[in-house]
Amino acid sequence: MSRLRVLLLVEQLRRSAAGGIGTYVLGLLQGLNELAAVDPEDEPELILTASRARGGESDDPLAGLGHALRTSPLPGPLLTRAWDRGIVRAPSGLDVVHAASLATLEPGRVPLVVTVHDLLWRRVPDAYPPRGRRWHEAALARALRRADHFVVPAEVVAGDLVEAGASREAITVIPMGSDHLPPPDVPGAVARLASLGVRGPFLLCVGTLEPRKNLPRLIEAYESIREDLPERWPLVMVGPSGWGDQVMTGSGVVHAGTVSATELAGLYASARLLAYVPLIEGFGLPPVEAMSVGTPVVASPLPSTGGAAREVDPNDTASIAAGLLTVATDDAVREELIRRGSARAAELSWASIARRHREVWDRVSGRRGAG
Amino acid sequence: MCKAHGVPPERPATAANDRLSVGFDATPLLGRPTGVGVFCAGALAGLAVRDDLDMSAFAVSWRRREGIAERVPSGVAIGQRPMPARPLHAAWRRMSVPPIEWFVGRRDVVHGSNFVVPPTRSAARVVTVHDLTVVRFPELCDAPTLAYPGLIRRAVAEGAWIHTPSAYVAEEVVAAFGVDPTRVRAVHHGVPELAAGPDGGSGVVLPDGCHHYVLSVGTIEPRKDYPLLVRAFDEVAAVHPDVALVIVGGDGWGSGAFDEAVAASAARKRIVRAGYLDDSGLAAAMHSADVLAYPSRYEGFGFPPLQAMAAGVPVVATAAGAVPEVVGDGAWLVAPGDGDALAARLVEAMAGGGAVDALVARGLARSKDFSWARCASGLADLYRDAVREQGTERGGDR
Repeated sequence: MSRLRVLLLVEQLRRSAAGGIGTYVLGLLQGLNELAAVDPEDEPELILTASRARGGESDDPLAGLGHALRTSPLPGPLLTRAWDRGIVRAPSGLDVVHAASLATLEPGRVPLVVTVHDLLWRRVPDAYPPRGRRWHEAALARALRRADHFVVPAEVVAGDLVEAGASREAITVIPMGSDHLPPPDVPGAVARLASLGVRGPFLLCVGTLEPRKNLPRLIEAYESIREDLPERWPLVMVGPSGWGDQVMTGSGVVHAGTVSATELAGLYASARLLAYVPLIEGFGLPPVEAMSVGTPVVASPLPSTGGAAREVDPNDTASIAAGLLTVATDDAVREELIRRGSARAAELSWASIARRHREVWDRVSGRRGAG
Repeated sequence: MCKAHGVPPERPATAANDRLSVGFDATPLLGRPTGVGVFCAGALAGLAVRDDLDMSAFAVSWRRREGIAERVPSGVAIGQRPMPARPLHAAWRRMSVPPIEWFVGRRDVVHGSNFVVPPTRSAARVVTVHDLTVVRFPELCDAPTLAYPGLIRRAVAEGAWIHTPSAYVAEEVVAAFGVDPTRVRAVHHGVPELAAGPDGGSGVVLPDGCHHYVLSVGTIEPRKDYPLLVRAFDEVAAVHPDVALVIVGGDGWGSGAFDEAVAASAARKRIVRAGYLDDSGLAAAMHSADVLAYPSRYEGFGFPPLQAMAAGVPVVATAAGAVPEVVGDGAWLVAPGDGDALAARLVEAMAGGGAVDALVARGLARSKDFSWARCASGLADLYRDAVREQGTERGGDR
């Protein structure tokens, strides 16, 4: 049987900050790559597609990912609009089209799989700018009309999607992976911290500074226990400024801004704990990243943690504060969380996640394993 | 090393028998050999025979990737997915992906042999910075080279270790990039072997009436300061009527100043541009030379003087960059840009005598301090330190 031909929509990788969806696409490619190294015959033929490169064809970074690349002559915003309206359709000769986000195209007779990362704009509309909400809603309607199958990172997203009109049989839950961090640059992280005046132990928080991440409550909780820590360990916040106008400062709160991937890995590896307490999240990647380098996690109830984090109520500052203090100081609790976290991270290898995507592609294309 | 990261295509051998698997960027071996290519060939040959390393080579090139098989020494494994150069460099500049493991499988260390090291999934990274011409003399650099500082800064920021061919460049790197000095390691190159001794003639056609020659070796580019040598040669020619100047090296860029200097020289009829010579051509030219002149303004290492010293040819060089560190007391040094001193020493060297014989003896002795085996040993230590640090993932202080 010839190799499965899959068109993967990777427009997200054109963005300067590709975010969680970018991590998903690259993790998926990494996992497929690892599978292919073990079992080259079974490797699907991937064709990546995106808008035209800004710097010109020969310098297109997406052409360096080791797969065929089809670029549209259109720039990004025009291309997604053309996809939306069905003006640009899938090319022929494919077995499956897979959209890595809600930006889908008209697949014609080829089965379309769409990854829906969350429907949070419906659950917490206030946490989204209005324009973003409108686009998401329209894109969801198109995806529901076009897709043959959905991939979601968590059962709760599957529930939301069924509520939006999808059939549960047409949804497969596949979590995100954890093993995508580059080698941690601990000395680099230490130097970065030193430049911010941080020496010794610290608590870490990772994520875009936006309302949904619940940072004011986290800071309030941290302030309330700061004096109870063995020393006044600072809270280091990593991540770009998103939107919203909340004040995210407090004594002992240090903003590191955007850091390189290796430095981020170094910060995870040298942090006393990761605090990640969003009000709601489709999956929640930072906790499993922290777990992958053996750092204990304090988190709201999230699909990603799999019971391997110290769970706190994100609406209750006292609960967050208690979680922070315990995990920062209680060695027995820390050891247990590190052990469980490592096991959870090991479950979430991108190779296993890629294998589950391949199974979905085989199924929707009628290749095998239909029953 | 660290965790179970998915399905490793090839298990690193460290756990079992403490051998490190190393992926070495052998791209500089493709195309016309350069100094960097000479380093790659020599280092790979030295590394391949070590029993504590599993060496493999890869090439970042789509068109020429087949050529790599015949250019790497035996004992170095090859095997990779195709790596298109321009898209990959664009991707590495902007996204820090794809990691090298996607193309060559799992490695403990990846060594970028020419200023650039790919991002990795789990491998420790080592990058060779051959010189800082681009920082010291940006006006002497072409456009692609001007991108190096950004790439070096990025690699350093991401935790790469730096290998330099001399302590001189190591200090420059620390000063220019503010790198932690413990992560910068000077490991001297070996001596590039010249092909077998003279089997008749220099292969260089000397002008009528000339029986001896001053040799200079290196691509014609501003950094080599050939106009200085051409002016100094005027004086040598006046004293020694049967001496020619032979310059071996392809045209790099900015050779206009060189052409002008030659045109202005009274001895221009005795200046021979031999162009680029292959190994045996260079060997023949070197073995028959009376003296090697090395007038450079800046060097990160300096192969030609070392080769000449090993061949028993007296060397007159400028004390530029790492040259004094490399030649030690085995060459006569003059200040960079000092044409009078250069001329005086060349005249003296051409005259021969006890002082020149002693210089040759010191040069020969000094050249024996350099070997590719020693270079490989230093690189192996560097690889091991980089891997060890990689292994200590946890921050100490928490």
